[in-house]
Amino acid sequence: MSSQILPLLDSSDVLAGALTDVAERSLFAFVDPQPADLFAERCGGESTWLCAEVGFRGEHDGVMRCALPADVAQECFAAFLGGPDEAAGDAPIFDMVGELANMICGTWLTRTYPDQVYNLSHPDVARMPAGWGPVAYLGDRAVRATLNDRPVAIWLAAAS
Amino acid sequence: MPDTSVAGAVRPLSILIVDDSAMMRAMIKRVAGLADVPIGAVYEAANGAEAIQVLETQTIHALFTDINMPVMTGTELLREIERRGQWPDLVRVIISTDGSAARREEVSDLHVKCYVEKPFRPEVMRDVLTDLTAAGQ
Repeated sequence: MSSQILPLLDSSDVLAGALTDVAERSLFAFVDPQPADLFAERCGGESTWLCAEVGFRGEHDGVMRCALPADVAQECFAAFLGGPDEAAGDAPIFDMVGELANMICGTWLTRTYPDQVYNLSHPDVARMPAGWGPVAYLGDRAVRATLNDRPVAIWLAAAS
Repeated sequence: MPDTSVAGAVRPLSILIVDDSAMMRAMIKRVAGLADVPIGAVYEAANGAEAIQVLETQTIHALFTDINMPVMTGTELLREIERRGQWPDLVRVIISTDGSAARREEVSDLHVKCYVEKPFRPEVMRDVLTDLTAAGQ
């Protein structure tokens, strides 16, 4: 076991691909990569964010975090279940966002390390405080993208 | 395979969906309902331990299980089913984000009929259910 995640950062393109595939297959949504400056500008217009965290353990240990605006999550919820676009409570929304993060993380690890077994933790999802945004947490190799024209960010961190 | 046919008529499949995400269980249930196969009772469990309780009390033809779950993982569930030997005809399908060769090898001796990677397109689930039904006739 190792806590070094540095090698994993080189697979950020695969991580972006995992986001695209999960969005297309589970949400019927489009993903577009964004340059850092434009992404930061888009994030400035968002108010409330949800952030999901999935831990992974294997040859490398770490966490993958995924942040998206709360109302985007609401839209995704309807697409995920193929139902009407009705307001849902926090519990089902958090469950769905956690499952999306889980699918992105699992898909990314499977493609990056097909010959290794990784165990994922149950996703932890939180509504972030007012004024919070993901930009300050994103390194050079984080995934900055839009999901149906709204910002979504994915980044990796060492296991705490 | 479960006995899904009686005098040419296809008996509805009774299925058990095991996933720690209620939304994923709902999604799988919905997709199963869209497939053009007769689905009978649909049971749900949030982990392997709950799934064992359902198996002990209900007649289940097909089990669809995730791998990474708290309390009892999908792999542990499949091992427990093997150890008990009480459900030899139970069709076992894995639905997981982990599609690695290493994971597939890990479950290769656990009589898994099909391995579906999440995220999956609805038609993949439909094809799996169609194959299960056809194989049972």
